[in-house]
Amino acid sequence: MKKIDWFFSLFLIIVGLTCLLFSANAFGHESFLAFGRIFFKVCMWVACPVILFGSLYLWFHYRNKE
Amino acid sequence: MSINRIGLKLGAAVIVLMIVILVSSGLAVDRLFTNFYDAQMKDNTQEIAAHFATMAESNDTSSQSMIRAFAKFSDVKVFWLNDEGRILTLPGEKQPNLSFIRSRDTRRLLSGHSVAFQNHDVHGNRFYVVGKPIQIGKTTGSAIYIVSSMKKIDDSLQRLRNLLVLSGLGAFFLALGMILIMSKLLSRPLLRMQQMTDKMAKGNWDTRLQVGSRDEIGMLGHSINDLAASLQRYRDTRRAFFSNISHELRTPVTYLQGYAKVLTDGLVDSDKEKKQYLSIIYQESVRLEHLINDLFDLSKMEEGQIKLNMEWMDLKITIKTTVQKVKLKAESKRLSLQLDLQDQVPLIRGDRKRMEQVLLNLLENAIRYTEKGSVLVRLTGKKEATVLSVSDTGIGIPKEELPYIFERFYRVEKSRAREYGGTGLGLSIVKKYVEMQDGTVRVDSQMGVGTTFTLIFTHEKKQRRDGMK
Repeated sequence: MKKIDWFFSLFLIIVGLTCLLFSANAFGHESFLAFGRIFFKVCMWVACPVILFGSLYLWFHYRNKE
Repeated sequence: MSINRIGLKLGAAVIVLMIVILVSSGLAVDRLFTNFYDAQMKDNTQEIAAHFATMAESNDTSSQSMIRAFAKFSDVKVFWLNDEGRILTLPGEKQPNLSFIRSRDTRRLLSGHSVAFQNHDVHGNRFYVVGKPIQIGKTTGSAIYIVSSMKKIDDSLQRLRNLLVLSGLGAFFLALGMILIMSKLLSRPLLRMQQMTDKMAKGNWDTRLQVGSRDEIGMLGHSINDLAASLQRYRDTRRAFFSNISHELRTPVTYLQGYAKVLTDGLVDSDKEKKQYLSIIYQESVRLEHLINDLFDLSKMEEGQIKLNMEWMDLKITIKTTVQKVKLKAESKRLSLQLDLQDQVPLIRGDRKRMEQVLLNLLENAIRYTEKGSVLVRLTGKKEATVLSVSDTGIGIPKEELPYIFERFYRVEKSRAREYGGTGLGLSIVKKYVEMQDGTVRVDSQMGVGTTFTLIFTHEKKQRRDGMK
């Protein structure tokens, strides 16, 4: 994949997550700071399984190669 | 950003699926919330109306002002109807415009029944109306109408709808981003394969795919690599074959041309010399004929056009017949031709004529490459197989050349090929014929000591196959 493909895909994912989080928090009339804090939390929750599965995949990949 | 076709198809399929799911689930959620709020608001209004009716039935003078106060807190409007169906107002209060009150509902109320309906004004604002009769004793003296505005609920629902659309849009973008990555990752190996097969189609068979996965795509990659390797091997052997065949054909033809020209131009001094040249021409023509016959047989074998006449045969008879044919050649080189044939050897299934050719090729080779000593043909019948071996005490074959001796035109003694004669196809034909008759060929050799070719025909395999037939 080229860099622009990654950039475009990640941009769409971030926009999607922002829309979802905004709609989830809009009823609470919370401030932008609180929204940013929740957004960061969600990003971390998404990143944790991604990092975990990525590391497992790389571990299996290199172990099989050896 | 390049949009490849398979990625586009995959992405489009998933996006269509996403849209269908989002729209249907969005509609379901919208209906769920709308119905829930409506039902709750109606229940509340009915409850308030029931309370107000009870309060009004107590016929207390303070109850009217209490009801008005409660109505203010509950954000509803209350209208009294007297027993004639007219709306009661407080002193100084204007007669309200109650166009939603229908005489049919009023009649129904005054006859002691409750009414409830939903209505909306000219601006589209919805409101819910509940009418309750006020029973004094056993008669209905008057009635009340409770009007509850649904504007707040409608506003909330509209806001909820907007947020649902926003979250749907968010889910769509999220899915789109992931689909882009997935489709790229999934289509990348296929695109690589397509590029590689394109190269192969253009004749570049040296390229290989880097296969990482072990799934179906990985297996396909391995198959393409195998295909490229076999095509490459086929091309290399074909090139070598044409190069060899042109060389092998050119050499006797050059001899024939040269000696024939010498004879035509009368450049011979004596009859003896003439006879010698004619003999060379004869030998070369015989060699050429052998070469062409061998090539013809090989090409037929490779195309699968040769049909063997399989029958039960006694190898001892074949050996004796063949040995008779090469006896003179062996004697001319003063080689002893020995036979060691076991008495009880089971019959094997094979083609008599082809088996004779196999043995002839092996014996001719043995005699050709043996200067002194003997050639031994041994036949032994074991429980599991019949073994035929041809051993000589010739020059032997170097160990590193043993794997190649069954290849077409492969010669161990390249520099002395003409001296030894032969077409270079004999062993290749031997291997093919033996394999066609369900046998195997093995070779053992030691430089300066001799070579042994062993043909093994297993019994079990044949019996099993015959049994199946």
